[in-house]
Amino acid sequence: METILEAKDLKKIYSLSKKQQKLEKSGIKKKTAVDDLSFEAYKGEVFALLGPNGAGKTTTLRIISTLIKPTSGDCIVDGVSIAEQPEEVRKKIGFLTSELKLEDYFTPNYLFDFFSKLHGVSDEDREKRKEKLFKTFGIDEFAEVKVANLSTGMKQKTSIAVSLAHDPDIIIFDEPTNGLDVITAKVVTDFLIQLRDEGKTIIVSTHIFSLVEKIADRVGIIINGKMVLCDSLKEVVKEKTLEDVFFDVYVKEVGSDE
Amino acid sequence: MNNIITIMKKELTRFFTDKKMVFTSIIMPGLMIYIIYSLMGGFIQDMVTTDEDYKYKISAVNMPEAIESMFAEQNVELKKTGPVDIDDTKAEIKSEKADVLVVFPEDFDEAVSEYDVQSGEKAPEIEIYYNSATTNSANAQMLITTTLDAYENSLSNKFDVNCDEKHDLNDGADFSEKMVFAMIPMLLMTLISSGCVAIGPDFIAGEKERGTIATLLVTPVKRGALAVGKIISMLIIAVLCAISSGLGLILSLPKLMGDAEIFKNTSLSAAQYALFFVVILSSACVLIAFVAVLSAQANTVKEAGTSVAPFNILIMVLSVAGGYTGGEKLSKFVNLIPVFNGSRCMSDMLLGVKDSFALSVTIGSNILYAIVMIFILTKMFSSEKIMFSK
Repeated sequence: METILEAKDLKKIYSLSKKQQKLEKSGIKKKTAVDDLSFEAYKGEVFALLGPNGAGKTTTLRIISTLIKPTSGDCIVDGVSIAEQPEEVRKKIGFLTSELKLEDYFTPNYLFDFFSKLHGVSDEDREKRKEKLFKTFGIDEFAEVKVANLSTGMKQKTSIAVSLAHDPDIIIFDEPTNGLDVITAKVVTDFLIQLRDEGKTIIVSTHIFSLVEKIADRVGIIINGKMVLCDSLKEVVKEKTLEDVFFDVYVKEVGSDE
Repeated sequence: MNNIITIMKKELTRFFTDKKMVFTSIIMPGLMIYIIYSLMGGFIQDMVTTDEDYKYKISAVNMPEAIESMFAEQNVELKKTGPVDIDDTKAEIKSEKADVLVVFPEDFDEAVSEYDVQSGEKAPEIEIYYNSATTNSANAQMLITTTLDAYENSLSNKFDVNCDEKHDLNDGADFSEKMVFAMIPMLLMTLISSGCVAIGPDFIAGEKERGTIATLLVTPVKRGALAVGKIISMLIIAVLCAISSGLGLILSLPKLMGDAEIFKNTSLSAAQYALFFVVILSSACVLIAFVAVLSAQANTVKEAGTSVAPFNILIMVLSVAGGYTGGEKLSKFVNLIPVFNGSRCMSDMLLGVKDSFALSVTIGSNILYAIVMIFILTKMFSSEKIMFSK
């Protein structure tokens, strides 16, 4: 299998503000969000990062998408280093997280064109991509409605379409079905499977076991910023359900009282 | 370059398709300035001017014929009153039914001719009763005072001073023009600065607050292109705000100043107008780039607004100082002070002072400052602490 993404000893240490130090109540001034984390993703697979809230999943994905810099370590994305050529990395990936918002004032149609241009997509390719993605997510029906007037599901569909406007080979989704109703969540899940079938590499973070079981080829469990388990889904669920495996690992790492 | 244009188009589209924003940021300031200044001008004019058709109600007691004829030459009708009616007339003035009462001493002409200035005795006194709360009464009092002054001068007219207007050797701006030429740069700078302050906080801090800046930062767009695209679009809008306010000001100025000839000694050539515009533009670049940096360091529009507000006061101080030192010889280094330099250069140009060195230093340093600010903004866009701090 061809490695398309390789995270090598990623570490992210945040300096806590005084306000954050008060909230932490421990008096510590620095917090390690990601701790020497390494993993690989292969071409055409869905790699799921599973972990509780605050485990470091989102920080890891933000580092890979070059939104933030690692304190140490590197990640090679399709042969390009995130530390050395972040702009090149951004051309190769499509990143979607709940913190990436669309401007309320614009319509899905305008935003799709805008982000396509920023990614250097030609007019012809843009129209083809738009037609396909808008049809898949049913965006045509609200393509000219301002984002401010869209429902959460419609906004999420638009965000996915916009993040994939440049047809990236590596797609990074942070909690893609969070806050969605069951129908929209199904549309998104089916689309992820479709992308995998098209040969795209998908890295997804979630804490929904059923989603991982449905779409993932391999799974990595992150607890307290460390990768505590990383294997193919088949191997992980050989003897126990994913949920049981996760809690076994969690208790081992954190303790039952947490 | 393409990305800069794409970002500019997006920013300008967002601004110009929002009718409410266009109205409040561009149309309203100019319109408000025009309406308020015109109303103020009209109000002031009404307060100090008497209608041309108005006939003053002037009562006179013991007025000599010579003075009466002077009023007659000015088509001022007088009502001759006896000494017994003085109190009634005063009451009428108080109740605004009459304008002025002039009371001359009996045998005024004789008393004047007999009066010796050297004697130290009290001179014959003319009493003028009027009501200062009434425009017509106050103006009538002024008319009478002026006429009586002229009469007094005619009694002892031994020499004249400057009978024609060829004695003022100044061929440039007079004092009032200098004041106006100092005020114009200050107003222009303040108007541009107000435009920057009005739109600046939302352009970057607003995007941070709404979470839309991160969406831009995950695209392959260079941070520098993002900074330049944002600043140029902010600059365009700020200049439009300033043009709107400037137009409102220029159109209302004649009404405010009572049709005074303000620019009679100013004649800028086309090249000078172009230079004038370049100075404004270079100053606007510095202002908007600085506001953009302040906006980028804030997490919310409110926070950005708070940090930008004191900046407006500083701009006003620097632009006033620059405008009022126009035409004066100062160290060449003062032209390195942003805003002050632009204001001073504009004032120089209006006063007809040609100083190409100061002009070059002003434009050059302003462009340099703007580039430094763009560089800082680029670095800020790359800083996760600034872009994603909570």
